[in-house]
Amino acid sequence: MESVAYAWLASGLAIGMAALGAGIGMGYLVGKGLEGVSRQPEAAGSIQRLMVMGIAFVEALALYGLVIAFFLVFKT
Amino acid sequence: MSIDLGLMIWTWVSFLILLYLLGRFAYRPMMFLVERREKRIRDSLRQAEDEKRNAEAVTREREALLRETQEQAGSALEGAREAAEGQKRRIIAEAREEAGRIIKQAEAEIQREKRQAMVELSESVADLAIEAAERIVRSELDRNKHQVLVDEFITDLENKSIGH
Amino acid sequence: MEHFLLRVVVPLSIGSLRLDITQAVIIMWVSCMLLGLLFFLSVRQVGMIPRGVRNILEAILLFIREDIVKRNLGLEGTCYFPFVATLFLFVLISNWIGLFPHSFTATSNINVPAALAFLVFAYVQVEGIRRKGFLGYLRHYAPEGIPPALYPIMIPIEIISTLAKPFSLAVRLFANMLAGHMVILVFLGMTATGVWFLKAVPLCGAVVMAMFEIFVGLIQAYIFSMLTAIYLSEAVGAE
Repeated sequence: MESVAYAWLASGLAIGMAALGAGIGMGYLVGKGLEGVSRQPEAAGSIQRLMVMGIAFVEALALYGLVIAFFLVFKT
Repeated sequence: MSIDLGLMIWTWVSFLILLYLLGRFAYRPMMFLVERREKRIRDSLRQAEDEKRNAEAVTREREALLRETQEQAGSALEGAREAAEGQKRRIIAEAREEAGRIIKQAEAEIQREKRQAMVELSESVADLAIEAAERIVRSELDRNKHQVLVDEFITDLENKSIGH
Repeated sequence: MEHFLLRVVVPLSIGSLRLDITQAVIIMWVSCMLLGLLFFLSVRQVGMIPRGVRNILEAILLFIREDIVKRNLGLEGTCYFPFVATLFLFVLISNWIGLFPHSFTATSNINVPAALAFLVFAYVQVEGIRRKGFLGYLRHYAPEGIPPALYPIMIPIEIISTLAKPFSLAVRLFANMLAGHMVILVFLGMTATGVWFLKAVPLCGAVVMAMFEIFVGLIQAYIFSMLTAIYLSEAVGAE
C-alpha cells in the first residue's frame, strides 16, 4: 500500500518537474524567437519554423516525464 | 506495454514492403513528372526572359531610328525654310530693284518727252506767232516793230508756261 | 490505459516467436494500403498539371526533397530520398489515423517507433561504413582535434551518444503520441461523469487536443525524418 502511494507521489513529481524544466526552456525559446522576429521581421518565417522545431524537442522532454508518470500510475 | 518482438518484426515487414513498393512504383514516376515540369517551367522562364530582352533591344533600336529620322526631318525642314526665306528675300529685292529701274526709266522718258514737247511747242508757237505776225504785218504794220512786240509776247508766254 | 494495449486478432507464432497479428499490425496495414491507394490515384494521372490528391502528395514530396533531404544531405542525398520520404509518410499516416475513433495509433506503442528507430540506426551505420569504409567509419568515433590522451573518455562518450540517438528518436515519437492521445482519452473520460452542462468543458478540451494532435503528428513526422536526414548526413560526411 505504501509503495503505491510512493508511486503516485513519484508520478506527480515526475510530470511536475518535467513540465517545470520544459516550461522554463520553452519560455526562453519563445522569448528569444520573438526577440529575433521583432528585430528582423523579414526572417520571421524561418525563425518560426526553427522555433516550432525547438519547441517540439523541448516538449518531448516534458512528455518523457509524462510517460514515466503514466507508467508509475498504472503500474499499481 | 513491453517489448514485443512480433510487433517490431511486423513493423519492419510493413515498412520495408511499403518502402519497396513506393520506391519502385510511386516516387520515380511522380518525381519524374515533377522534374519534367520544373524543367519546362525553367525553360519557359528562360525563353520568356530572352524574348523580353530581344523585344527590348528591338524597341530601343526603333526608338533610336525614330529619333534620328525626326532629327533629320527637322533639319531638312529647317534648311528648306531657310532656303525659301532666302529665295523670297532675293526675289523681293530683285522685284523691287526692277520696279525702281522701270520707274526711273519711265521718269527719264517722261522728262525727255516733256522737254521735247516743250521745244516743239515753243518752236511751233514761235512759228505760229511769226506766221500770224507776218500776216498782220503784211497787211498793216511794218515788220520790225511787230517783231519786237511778238518776241516780247512769246517771251512772256514762255516765262509764264515754263516758270509755271 | 487498456485502450493502448495490444489486442490479438489472429494468433500466429513460429516456434517460440509470437507473431500475433494485433490491431496495431492491422492498422499499420491499413495505413500502408491508404498510402498505396493515394499514390495509385496520383501516379495514374498523366500530364503536367496535377489534380486532386496528387497536389498534396507532390507538395509533401517536394517539401521532403527540398527542406529535409537536400538541406541536410546536399544534391547527392537524392538517393536517400525514398527512405526518408517513406519514413515521413509512414509516421504521418500512423499518427493521423489514430485520431479516428475506434482506430489505434500504431506509433503510440513503443515497439513501432523502436523498430523504425532501429531501422534508421542500422541504415545509418551501414551507409556510414559503405561511404567511408570501415576505418573511416571507426575514425568517426575519435573526432579530430582532440588529443589522444582524451580518447579513453571520448570514445565511450561517442559510442553512447551514437547508441542514444535511436533511443531518443523512438521515445520522442512514442511519448508524444501516447501522451497526446492519452490526454484526449482523459478528457473524454471526464465527460462520462458530472452533470450534463459541465460535460461540455472536457468535450471542448478533447476537441482542441484532437486538433492539436493533428499538428503534433505532422511535427513529429517532420522531426523524425529530419533527424534521420541529419544522422545520415553525419554518417556519410555530407556538407
